[in-house]
Amino acid sequence: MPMLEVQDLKKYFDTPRGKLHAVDGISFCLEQGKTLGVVGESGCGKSTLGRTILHLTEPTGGKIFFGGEDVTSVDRARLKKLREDMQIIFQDPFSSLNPRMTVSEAVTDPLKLTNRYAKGEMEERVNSLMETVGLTERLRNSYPHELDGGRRQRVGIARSLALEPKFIVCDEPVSALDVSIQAQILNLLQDLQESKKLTYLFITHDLSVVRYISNDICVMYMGQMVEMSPSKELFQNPVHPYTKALLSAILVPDIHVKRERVLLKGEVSSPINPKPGCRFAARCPYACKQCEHGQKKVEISPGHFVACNVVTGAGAESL
Amino acid sequence: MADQIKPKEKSGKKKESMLRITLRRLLKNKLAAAGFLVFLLFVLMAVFAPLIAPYDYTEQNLYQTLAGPSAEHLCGTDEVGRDILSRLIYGGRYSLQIGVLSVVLAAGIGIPLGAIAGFYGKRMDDLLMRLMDVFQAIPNLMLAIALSATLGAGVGNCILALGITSMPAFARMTRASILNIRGMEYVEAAKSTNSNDFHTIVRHVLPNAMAPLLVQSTMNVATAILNAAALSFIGLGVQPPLPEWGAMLSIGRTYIRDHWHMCVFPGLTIFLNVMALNVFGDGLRDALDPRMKS
Repeated sequence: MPMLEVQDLKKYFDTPRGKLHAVDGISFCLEQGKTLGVVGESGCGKSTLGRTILHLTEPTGGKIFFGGEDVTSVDRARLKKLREDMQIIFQDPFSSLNPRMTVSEAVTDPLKLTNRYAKGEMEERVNSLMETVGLTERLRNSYPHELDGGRRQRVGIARSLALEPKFIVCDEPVSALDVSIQAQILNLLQDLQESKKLTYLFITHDLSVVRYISNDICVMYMGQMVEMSPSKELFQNPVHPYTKALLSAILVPDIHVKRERVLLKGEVSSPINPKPGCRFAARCPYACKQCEHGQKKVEISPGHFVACNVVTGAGAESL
Repeated sequence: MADQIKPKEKSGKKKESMLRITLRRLLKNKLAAAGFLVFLLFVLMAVFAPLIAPYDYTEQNLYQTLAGPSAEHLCGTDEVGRDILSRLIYGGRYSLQIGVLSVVLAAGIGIPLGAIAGFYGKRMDDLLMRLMDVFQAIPNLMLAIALSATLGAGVGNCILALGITSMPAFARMTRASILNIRGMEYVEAAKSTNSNDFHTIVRHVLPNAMAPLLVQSTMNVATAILNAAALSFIGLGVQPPLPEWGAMLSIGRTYIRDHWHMCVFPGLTIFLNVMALNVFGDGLRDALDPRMKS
């Protein structure tokens, strides 16, 4: 049984100009202890996907199953329990920590809100959490502004771990950090995953990061999944034109390698009241008439799903 | 003894309370500390007025009306021969009380209302802010006059009228800073760790919105003292013969050409208080900001 299953999840926002389709029909399964990487450009709905699963915003449609239980719409009491099992690590450690709370206060805050710990136990718990994420005890009473980005992110991670969650949404946890610190935090996340059997939904726009940490990767474009596949397979055999373009943008640290760069024309079209049909068609080098009718998700090899009629369906010969 | 204390400090386990940190920083800021001291001095003077004041505030000496400063009457006397210095010392009881309590009232109502409006937004925001518009549509002093006229004159009613008048400013200010803060990720993080709305507002949102409000509060005390003077002037605030700085100033105005001391001393008193409160407010804002170097 998968730890988390999402079926046709939709989140639309009301805007003055119409409905903004932030997440539009995303489905995936995630086993315990695994990581699903979600990649896509800014504004494609990655973060909204994570927040909707956590009920930080309510889904417009679709279903969410957690541990086999339907948690799409839950009452207060259930949500409270659920939030202890599902946590989030934020992108920007500068705005995700309350500037007026010391490290220990920030980590204690979630503990105070649950009845699980007696007063005396809390301090011990905070100490062990700080140790887990690699913060020395001397930083207990430091304020966030006194810490560097990496340490702040460790505080954010400690806070997320406070309630012993099973599933964590990592919303671009390293993209605000220096490259040298990125690796430290990624290693920390991996160690934690191993020791605590955590399940991650890892949101990022950095393909080299996602490759390092994910078992499966889901590529999103304008709220929809365009390709999903085991990590290795995706990098070796990208099928969707958008994925190809994305992967060709990764820099290779070797000046002798000449690769074909797939350049996309145009801008992302508006996600407000999008036209039916493939949303990528306007920028796709292979777009043709049939793309106006929308695309079907096809499993081209085990676990490798592609949503593009041209490369999977009847139009394949036009490639 | 010193050896016993040292290791405790080193481990850093004992957390210095926010109040102590703030106080320590405040005292480091010489100007703010001076402001605080001056204000404290006026408060103490008001509290111990009967012990300090050389005369009673109602004691008239009709042989010496409108006398200038002398050794006998350090600040001179007023039109019925009352000692101005004594009246100023007693006056703090009313002026400071009105200034401080009306701000406490205004902040006590305005901050929660603004917090609710800003945090929940949408309907709640519309409803509460339109309500504030109703208050603000009437010029401040007019509203205060209307309220005290309805409630009747007196110190208590004066506090009520001035408090209600300045409440919308607090609500608006709170709302404005909260609109900024509620979008921060740490607020969302609190939500994701099961923080209820009350806890989120009190622990995460308001502490970060306090800085401008504190400054506003200290300055509002000054405004309230001046507005109380205006109310007294038209006979709706503190009633004679109770000494109130503003009222004394207004009466002195009539004699300003020939008897400067009647205006200057009450004016100077108000000025000193307002100034002290303002520098104190500024210092307090800095001291409360953990980002400032300590």
